[in-house]
Amino acid sequence: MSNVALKNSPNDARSAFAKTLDALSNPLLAILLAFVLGAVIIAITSGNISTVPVAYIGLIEGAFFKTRGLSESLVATIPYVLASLAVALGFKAGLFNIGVEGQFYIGSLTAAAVGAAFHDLPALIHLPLVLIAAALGGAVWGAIPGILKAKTGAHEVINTIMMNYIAYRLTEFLVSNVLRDKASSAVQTIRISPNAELWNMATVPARLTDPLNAIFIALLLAITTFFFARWLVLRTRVAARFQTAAQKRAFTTALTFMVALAAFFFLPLLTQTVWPWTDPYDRLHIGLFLAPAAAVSVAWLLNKTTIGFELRTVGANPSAAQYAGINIGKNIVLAMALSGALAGLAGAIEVLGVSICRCLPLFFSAGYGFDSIAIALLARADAIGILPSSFLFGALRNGADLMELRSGVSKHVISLIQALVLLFVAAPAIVRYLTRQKTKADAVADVPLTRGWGR
Amino acid sequence: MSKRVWFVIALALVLALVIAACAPAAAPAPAAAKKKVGLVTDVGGVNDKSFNQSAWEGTQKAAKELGWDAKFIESKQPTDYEKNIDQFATEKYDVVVTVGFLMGDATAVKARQYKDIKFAIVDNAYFPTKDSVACGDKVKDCYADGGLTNVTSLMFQEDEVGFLAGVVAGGMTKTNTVCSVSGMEIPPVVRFVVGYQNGAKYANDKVKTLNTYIPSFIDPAKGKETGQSMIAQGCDVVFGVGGNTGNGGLLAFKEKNLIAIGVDVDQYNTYPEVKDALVTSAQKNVDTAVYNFLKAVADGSVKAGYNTATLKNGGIGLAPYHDWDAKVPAAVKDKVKTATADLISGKLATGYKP
Amino acid sequence: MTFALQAHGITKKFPGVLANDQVNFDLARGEIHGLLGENGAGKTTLMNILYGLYQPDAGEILLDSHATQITSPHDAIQQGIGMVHQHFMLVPPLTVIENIILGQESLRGATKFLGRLAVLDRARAAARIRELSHQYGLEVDPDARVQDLPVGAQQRVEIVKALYRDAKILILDEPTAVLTPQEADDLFKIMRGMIEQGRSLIFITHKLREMFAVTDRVSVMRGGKMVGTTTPQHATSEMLAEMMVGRKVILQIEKSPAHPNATVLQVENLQVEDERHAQMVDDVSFFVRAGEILGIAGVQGNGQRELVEALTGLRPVGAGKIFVLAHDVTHKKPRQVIEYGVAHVPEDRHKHGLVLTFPVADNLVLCTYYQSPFARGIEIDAAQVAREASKLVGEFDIRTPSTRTNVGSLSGGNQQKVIVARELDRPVKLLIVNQPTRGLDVGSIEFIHRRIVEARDRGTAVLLVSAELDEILSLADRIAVMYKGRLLETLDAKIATREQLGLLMAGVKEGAHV
Repeated sequence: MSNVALKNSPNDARSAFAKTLDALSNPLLAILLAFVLGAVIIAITSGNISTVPVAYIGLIEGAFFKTRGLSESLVATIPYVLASLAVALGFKAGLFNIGVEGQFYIGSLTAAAVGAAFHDLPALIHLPLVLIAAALGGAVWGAIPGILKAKTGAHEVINTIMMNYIAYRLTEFLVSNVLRDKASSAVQTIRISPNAELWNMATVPARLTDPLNAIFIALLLAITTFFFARWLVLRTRVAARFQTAAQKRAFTTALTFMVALAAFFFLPLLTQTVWPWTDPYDRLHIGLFLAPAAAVSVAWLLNKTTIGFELRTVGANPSAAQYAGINIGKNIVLAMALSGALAGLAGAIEVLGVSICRCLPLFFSAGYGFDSIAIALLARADAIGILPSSFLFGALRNGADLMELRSGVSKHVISLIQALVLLFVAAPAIVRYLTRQKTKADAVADVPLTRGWGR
Repeated sequence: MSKRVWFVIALALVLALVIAACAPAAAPAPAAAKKKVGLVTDVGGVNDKSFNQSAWEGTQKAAKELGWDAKFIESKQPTDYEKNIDQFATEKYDVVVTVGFLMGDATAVKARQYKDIKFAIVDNAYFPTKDSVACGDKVKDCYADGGLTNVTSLMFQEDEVGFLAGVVAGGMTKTNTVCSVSGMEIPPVVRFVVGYQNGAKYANDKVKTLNTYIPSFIDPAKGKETGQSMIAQGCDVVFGVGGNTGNGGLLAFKEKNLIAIGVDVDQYNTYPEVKDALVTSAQKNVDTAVYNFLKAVADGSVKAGYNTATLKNGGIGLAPYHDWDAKVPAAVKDKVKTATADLISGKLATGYKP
Repeated sequence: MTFALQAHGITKKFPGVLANDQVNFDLARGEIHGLLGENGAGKTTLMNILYGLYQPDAGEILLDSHATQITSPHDAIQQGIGMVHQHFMLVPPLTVIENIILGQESLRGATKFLGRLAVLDRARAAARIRELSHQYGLEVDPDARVQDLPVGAQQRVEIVKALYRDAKILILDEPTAVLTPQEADDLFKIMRGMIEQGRSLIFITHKLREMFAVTDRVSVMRGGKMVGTTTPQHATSEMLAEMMVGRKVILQIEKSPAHPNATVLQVENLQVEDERHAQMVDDVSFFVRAGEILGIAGVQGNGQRELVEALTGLRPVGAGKIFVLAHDVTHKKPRQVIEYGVAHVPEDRHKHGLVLTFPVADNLVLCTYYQSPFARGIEIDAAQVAREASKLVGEFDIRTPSTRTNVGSLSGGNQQKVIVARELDRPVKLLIVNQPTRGLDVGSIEFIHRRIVEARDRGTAVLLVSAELDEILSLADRIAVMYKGRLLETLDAKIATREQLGLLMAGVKEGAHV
């Protein structure tokens, strides 16, 4: 195979960098405009223009520079990434999953239950088990409105909202009865096994002294390396260096094994000596790696596989999908299940990595599922674009407290700024008008964001 | 995309830097550093017409008298507690008050981290508990040798004042059925409810009691619904124990012109929508407790451990009858007086067992 | 000649495209001026400028020899310019009167002071509409709801609407696309009548025949420029086609006689219902053999769509049988039908044929993405897809900046080529093409016609459904006419005449024996 022999059209000849800049400039302008407007609002409501810099410096310092500021922003970003991936995946298949919040609850419920169900399993087994269980829980919760839509045409917006309420009440019931920790006077579930936790960053060196944990990490790294190496030999210029498929396979295998072995033998030692996270009060956890991995996986699934091709076709044009012989009902159910699985993972992460009791208390989420709709829209439903947009929302959410503390400006202003960002992204015409950009005739890159009602 | 757009972005960033440079960020701290007190509320927020609000009022009052700075942060969800306390700590606050039983774990963890900061937590006392993040069962006393040497727990003997509310309810009911619409089943709420039920039975041996715990403090709709179902079961006096959720219960009874009893603060003032139905409120003076704590911090007399507000020390009590003063029979008022005296003297017990 | 309208040096730029480049155009009073051009030649831009939807970057417009500016459609109407769009601008649930007076409501005098609440003076409006209808032979029932009217009548409503607004200049954008040949002839009579009343018409069409039938002068645009103006007396079809395309065009496809082979498609007593459970295909039987083209003629909406959808598995079959070769495909799913070797060029390329937001390459593998070599396991081999796309883009002369360009940004002709390329590239036994050249320019039509005949010559059975009689006549070996869900007659293409078919399309069965 000679993949490199493709003829480049003039469009492809533009550097990837220039293209990225293009794609970024609209959202960046939107963010900028939102902050400018936010400044005006702060100045007017506080009646003092000097409040603006105090507020914004507080915001930035709180989000990035204060002690644990960046970590806390990332802690908020991680569930955002997964929850908004859930929304985006639905969007791509033409579905508006408003049920992410409910699926999030079911995911955290499942994680709390499975996490506390075993106490002797090693992390190597228990942690993946908990995550899979949470994903399954969310998937089932998402699939139900999917099946209803596929079979009866019932609109997923209505059914996912209803499923949210069922999820809230079910969680309340189970947490305050069946799963309740009787020893605690608080209404919460039993603490999960330490082996089911998503490791706190600061505890990684200590955790790695257990050989089972070292094997676990070596395996994870090996899997990542395998996919990375495969990508290298199949999709990049590296491919040209190999003649046969056997050579490529050999390279991939060798690299995978080397990384696995190196990780097993040297990583524990290495983390003992150099490890950037030493603050035991830092709440950042290894979900930090899970979020981008999930984003890359979703991007791969959507853009590089037949499954994604079908999902996107159903989303972009169901009639054409039907014409092409794609089973629409099956894909609707699949999309909702995958979406639910991602939302469930988001819920699990909060229980396994953030909750102080490493358990599920009542009223766990404050609208991650709803913020994530905004994030997915901001990212125009692009799986990779969700990483920066989630970080933006996470940082704003986290920085808001210091802003309020320093300047007295209510942190609700942040919600306002988020809404403005979204407004400007959703209505690029406004941004273009405000910045006098010219429309490009060929810039018709409409993201199919859900089909209308009554379908 | 045109270069122009990037020019605009670059320009804006430069402007932002200029503004930042001109900002009074570098303003040096005042010479005589003012002490700073921060309050972390629970998800109810500072305007909950109930104990978060009361705690904030106490904080403000003390800060004003002492010349301190006072700020609050409202929690959005349980995973925010730690972060919010940390916010005050890294901003070099001297005193942090956390409101609510649910913040127990977070407060303990942060108190161990920041030994120089004085902490007060409303409604939660620490006892050695197996597997507890706050205080494991390896120690005898959580405060002295559990590392919480800088924590004061502000506790309330809710069962006592709940008992008095029950006496009123038992005396006022015509159907011999009294009920309570309660929030989450956590110790302070349970104390109120148990006291209330026993108080009602003390006043009226024929009385039947109903209670529902709703696992939320911010769900008035559910509270109202529960209240309505209790009315259907014949209840004519309700005790709303659970922030906004309980308020929903009060509203249901007000709409049917039945009798309601408020909680935490004198809800005649904070929740005037139901004042026609409100015979009294089972007050716990969170504001006073927080105020006293801050005064003690100021004069150096503060001690780790828990302070419990009781009828005896006046930290709790029934609110005035207000508009109902004429409608409450003298016999009931007398019974309340007797019960109060007997509870203080120890002749009478509320029947609450932890 | 006195001119009703003159446009001098009109230039309009869109980013990256010079849509109108120094275009001169004039319209004499009392003439029908035909405007020809391929898609993207700039006709629509020019008309939109005249109708006030766009402002030109340069150039001037004169009405009755006075320079003027047309700032909006409303302004255009005020200045006596009306336009009948290709896609009707009517509100279906409203009645004919309501549609016509929309925006021009005449109010009953006594209630005028009420402003927006004033009472509509329907009676006066109805009277005026009747008068106009009568004068021009435009039969419309003022009280009918637009949604209940056939397309021909809806078009008449559009014309009456323009006349009601007293348009001196009327722009007709492809008005014949939705009409039978007879209806088109009626329209031409109406157009003539309007000329006699002193109005002037701009008539846009793709069909060369109509230019000769009705216009006084013909202008041709190509690539944003005005190529030239001539009169039908001095022009030939070949000449006009060459002006449009810029090269010699073969209008009449040359094809050898068919050599039919074994039967590929056999349809027996087929019945199909539409969404509202109306019987749209009623007891239809026919067959198509390998190496022949069966044309199904008929005015749109006589069940052709439902027939084709039933054949390709997109619509449930009520009764009857469908066989492809030896396989019973009556109740099979679309994918199974495809895998039996059936290719389908759908009627509505935007609805069924393409995913407009997808790149050209993805659209080219829309039906085969899951098969080797495009997929290995669940992974799509982007390199193979790209290679296939480059190959087809070359072979089928698809004009696109790149294979990653969204298909939605291509012209209609190139979009259709994408579909044809995709469907013909597979080893197909049966090719079903429904309205394959609707709205396309001459160059693309020629290309697609050639491909269809080539497919036939390779031994593919072809079922061609078209409302364009010219298309049927030039391609089909046998011709069936569909009317109200039934196949009226199947004729040998060699002996069928336009008139005969036209009558059959109108449901006049005796016509076949004339």
